[in-house]
Amino acid sequence: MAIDLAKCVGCQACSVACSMENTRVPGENWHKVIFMNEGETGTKKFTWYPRPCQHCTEAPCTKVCPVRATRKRKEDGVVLINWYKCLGCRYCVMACPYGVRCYPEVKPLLEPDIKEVYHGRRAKLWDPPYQLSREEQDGKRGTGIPPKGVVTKCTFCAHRTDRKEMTPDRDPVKDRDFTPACVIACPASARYFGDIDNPESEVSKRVERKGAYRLREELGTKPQVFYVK
Amino acid sequence: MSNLFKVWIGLLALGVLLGLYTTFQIFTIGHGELANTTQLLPWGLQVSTYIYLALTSTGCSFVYCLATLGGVDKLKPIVPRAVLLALLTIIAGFTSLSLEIGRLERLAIEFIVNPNLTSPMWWMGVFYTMYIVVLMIELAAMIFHIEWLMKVGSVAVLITAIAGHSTLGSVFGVLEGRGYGFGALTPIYFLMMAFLGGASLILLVSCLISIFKGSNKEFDEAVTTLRKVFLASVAIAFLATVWRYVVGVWVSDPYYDLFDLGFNKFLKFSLLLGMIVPVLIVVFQKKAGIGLALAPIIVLVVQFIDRNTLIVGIQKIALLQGVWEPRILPYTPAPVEISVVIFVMSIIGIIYSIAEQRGFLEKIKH
Ligand code: SF4
Ligand code: SF4
Repeated sequence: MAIDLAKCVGCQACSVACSMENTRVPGENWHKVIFMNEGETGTKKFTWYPRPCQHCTEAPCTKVCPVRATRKRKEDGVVLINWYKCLGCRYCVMACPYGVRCYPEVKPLLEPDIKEVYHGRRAKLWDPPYQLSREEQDGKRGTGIPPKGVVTKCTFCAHRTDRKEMTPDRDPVKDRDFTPACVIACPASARYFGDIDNPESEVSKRVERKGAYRLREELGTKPQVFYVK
Repeated sequence: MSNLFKVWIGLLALGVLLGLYTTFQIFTIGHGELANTTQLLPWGLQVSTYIYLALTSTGCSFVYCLATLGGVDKLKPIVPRAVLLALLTIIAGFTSLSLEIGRLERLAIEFIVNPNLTSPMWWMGVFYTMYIVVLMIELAAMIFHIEWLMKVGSVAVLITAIAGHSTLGSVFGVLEGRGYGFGALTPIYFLMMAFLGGASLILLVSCLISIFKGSNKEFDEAVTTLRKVFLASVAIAFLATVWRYVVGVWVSDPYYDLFDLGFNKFLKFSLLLGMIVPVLIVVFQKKAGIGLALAPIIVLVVQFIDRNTLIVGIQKIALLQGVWEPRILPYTPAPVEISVVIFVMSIIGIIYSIAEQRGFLEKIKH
């Protein structure tokens, strides 16, 4: 994924779209837009940083998970959690340098507790009337409503993207149903989703043309989310 | 059985009952709902208590190995006590940790079926399981006087204690993204601090035995040696702590703030109260008694708080914080977390006290 920071207006539409698409509880922010302060006093520059899971190439979360519940998919490099294996030990939450992992079974951020309002049935943490279809909910990929006591995170909307063969790019209009919700919701068209290994993809071209950087690059995690300006 | 002992056991039994009720609540309502840990600060008091108890257990094993492998014969009367305390503290530590895990029922099976060899936590599970088994075998060998097994057991205890505890250090050492806890020094720091916890607990127990059971020559000699062991352990811990903080103030910018914030407190609390005051007490109080017991009590309390400061401190600086987000994340343990701590401490107290009162430990000779 590439995100053009010069286009981002900080409207948070991507965060809202993510929460609605993936049915997250309040505070379980799979996606955030962080307002960051760069530079020294006097030359301060404020920048919006949309922050999904970085789907790191060298993902610390996959290395520390004691039971391989969180794995990197070989085909596309997407990092997913298997909710049927996860122990809820939260070691991965500690290890992720970007704070993207969530443990939804914590005290509710808002009252009434939405998990109680839509009380969990069939081993689900909660069971709201609005949620992904049964086929799209897949505990092995960590999409949909989780069971109790497991860790969750952004899947790059695997339930959408997996439905189409790998292509250089996903056009947010033509490939609407196969593109991550944050990409199609962005009113400034600041987000690009495609195959970074394919030099023909829009993502590769933008990274090539405009130069890009990644978050906390010094850690060697090699995120697959590139920020261009 | 004296009245004082009955009151003591009564209090501990209350602690265990409270813990059983808390455990019931955790399993019915859910730990996450009851605890004050958050999405951004996932490990709280229970994890730090686990680390504290694991540290103390390793320390007890070190003192034990000093007597058996190091040839410090004067420590022999405390040998069975050290093994029992090592076993109780590590089991209590794991109880505290287990009650924080989201899907406890999956733990054993997933650890076996899906091992991740790159995960320090997986190795920690393996080494600590071996450590617990070895300690149990060692205790059995002592009870049944199986000489060769005791010898082999001592070596195995030492190896598994070092392996387990340094791996526990590496659980934090690999957290590259969190400057306050990360570093190759962490496993070594954990090992160096362990000795202090164990020496303190055994010195405390020895003082209490002298107070309540009256002193005897063999035991008094053990206490004299234990005082020296305690002083050595403080010296090691002092070095480890000072170097850790020196390294700490040099790590990258956001973490410096935390060191800066905590530095004054640290100087007064960890070093002055937690190490220098106990050393002075031990130097001037030569006989086992209430005065001498004060030193290990102070160390054990300060270490408990220090462990919490370390584990929670690792998480306190918000990762990738934005302008509107709190720079330092808040955390105060919830009643349920405190109950779990009381529960596990009571388990150690009640089993050890009964073993001591029944004279079970005196019958075991190494
Ligand atoms: S951003 Fe965090 S959760 Fe996502 S792949 Fe990297 S380490 Fe794992
Ligand atoms: S919480 Fe789950 S995914 Fe994360 S490290 Fe533990 S077992 Fe693995």
